Amino acid sequence: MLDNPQNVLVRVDGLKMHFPIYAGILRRQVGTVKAVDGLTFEIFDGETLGLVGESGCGKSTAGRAILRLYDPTEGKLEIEGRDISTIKGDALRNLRPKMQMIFQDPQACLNPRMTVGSIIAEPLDEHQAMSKEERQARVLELMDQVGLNRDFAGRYPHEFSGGQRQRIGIARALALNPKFIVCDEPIAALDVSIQAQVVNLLEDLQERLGLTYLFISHDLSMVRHLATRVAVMYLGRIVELAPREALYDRPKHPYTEALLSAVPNPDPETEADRKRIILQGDVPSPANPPKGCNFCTRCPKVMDICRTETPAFRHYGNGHHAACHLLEGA
Amino acid sequence: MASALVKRRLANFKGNRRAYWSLWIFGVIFVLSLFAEFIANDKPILLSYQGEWRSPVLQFYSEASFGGEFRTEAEYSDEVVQCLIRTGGIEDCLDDPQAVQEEAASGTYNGTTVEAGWIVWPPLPFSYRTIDENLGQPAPAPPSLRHPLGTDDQARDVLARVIYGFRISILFAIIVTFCSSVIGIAAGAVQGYFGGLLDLLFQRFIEIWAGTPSLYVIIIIAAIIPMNFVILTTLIILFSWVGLVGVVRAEFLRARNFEYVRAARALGLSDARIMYRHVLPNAMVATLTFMPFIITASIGTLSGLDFLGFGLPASYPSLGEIALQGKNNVTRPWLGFTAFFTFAIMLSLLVFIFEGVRDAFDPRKTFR
Repeated sequence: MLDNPQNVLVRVDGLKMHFPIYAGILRRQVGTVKAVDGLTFEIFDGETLGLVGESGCGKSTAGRAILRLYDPTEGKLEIEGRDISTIKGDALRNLRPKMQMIFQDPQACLNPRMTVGSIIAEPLDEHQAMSKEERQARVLELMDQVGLNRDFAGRYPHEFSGGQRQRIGIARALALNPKFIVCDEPIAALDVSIQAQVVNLLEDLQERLGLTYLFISHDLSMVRHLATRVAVMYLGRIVELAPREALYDRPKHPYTEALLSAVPNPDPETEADRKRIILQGDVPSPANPPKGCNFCTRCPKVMDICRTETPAFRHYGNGHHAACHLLEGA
Repeated sequence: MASALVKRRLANFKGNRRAYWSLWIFGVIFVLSLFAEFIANDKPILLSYQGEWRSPVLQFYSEASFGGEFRTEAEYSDEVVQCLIRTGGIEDCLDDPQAVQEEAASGTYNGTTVEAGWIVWPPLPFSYRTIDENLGQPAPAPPSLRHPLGTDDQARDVLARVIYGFRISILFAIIVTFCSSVIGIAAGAVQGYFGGLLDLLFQRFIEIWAGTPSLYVIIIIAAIIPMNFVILTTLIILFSWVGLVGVVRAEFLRARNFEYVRAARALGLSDARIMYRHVLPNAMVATLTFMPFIITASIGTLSGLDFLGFGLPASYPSLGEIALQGKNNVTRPWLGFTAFFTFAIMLSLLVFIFEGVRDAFDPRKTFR
């Protein structure tokens, strides 16, 4: 990006993640679920890229594929200039300390049979040669960082509240001093009162440790609060990517417009005037996406060309990217 | 750190009275049977010969070393040997042991002082292969003071055979269960965790392997090479490990997509570590559920083979062989009843114990 002098930390180029569908006695492949179908974007050092979209649009799959928890079908992934799209085995494992993940469900992502201390210590065991005392000290330090009482190290996850569990998950992700963290809907499973605490903690840690986040969420207000730039996904593709203010104030893509119109406004006066753009129909199946633009079946401003040609993902100035035929002519 | 969990499991197990007492009873019987040589043996535990203490259970002593004629192991049940020990090796014992012993009891024999010795016998002075030559009635003899459970058709003490047979059955079961569990869990874990083509091929192999009629294979092999404990154990392990693969594989297939297993993968943990630390504990309950079946099945297989005469060689003490004798001598009910009650009590105790262990490991009971 020419108008942005920041360093690129993660580069995603044409990422595709397709899952085969098998059927019949011979288990022949009869189709593919195109969960992620060609993502291209960059994440800059120290920023928070918000990734929003409705359920099932491939946000989480994208996050996992970027961390190489899946083997991508196609495309290139780079972290700090190193291609990680095809590495395997130990080479991949040794890269793990650089990139970590915070999971959606803090209850499910912690082994119920391990104590908090051993959960946080586990990545240290695996990746760093530390003495028992050093490790213990590091665990307690991490617990301080995320605001957990040190005395809780010997307790089991089920003894904690959701917010505290998410803090455990964050401490574990931080254990290896990662540069890049994928936050896969880290606040979706939490009470609203706790969400703010966790988000503030994430912001705080970013400031102190210089972290880079890919923040996956369907909570548009929270992303607005947290993100530097925002990418909107629909059916496996990014439809619009722009700096936060530009995206929220001047959305270019009809889908983004519709999405933003659904966000309730806290001010009752403007809320009364809010016009919702109600989309017709359902999201098409990612196993059988429509021809042309993915959004053509529901777009209120659909044109003939949308049904035949896939719009290109283009830069429209000031870091504002979008993929729509409406903009091409303009 | 894990001790809280272990403590709760122990408390759960103790809370199950039946399992708890079964474990105690079984434990005592098993430990006693480990010392079977000191309980039922045709050799004395301890004796004093010319003031010197000897323990024939532990060490070989020839008859000559007691002043007798032969260099072979002393026949301690023989009156001549007993006379030699009690009188300190007076040679006349070889001719008339009874008279010599009577005279020596007074303290002197033929004018010289007798170095009196003594013998401490095990509670049951018969080993599993001792043939009681002074039975005084045709074998199999009914229960009496001398033979609490009677004798079998070769005049061997049934109680002694039960004690030794129990020991060998349990040791066999423990070895078979341990080995086949380790192999089965490892195989199931690898299949379930990695899945895909490996799983598909391995499953087909296991289907074929499990379809092999193991009993016939063992009988055929027994006909070719002389059977012993090691060969038989190996053969049965070879066919019994498949039992656990199914459940362990299923648990691994389920657990490999657990969020915390994914999280562990994202942390860059090695596969072996993820399998051992995060997935295996989930499979433990299922494994423990199957454990009593493997144990009882292996005891059953061993006894079945012995019953058919294809198991351990005849020189081994075996519960299956007692059952066979019970079948051959239906008019001598103590044989059949002994076999039945030994099996019934042994297997029930084992099942009760493992029922308790399984409940103790049940996470729903532990975590609530």
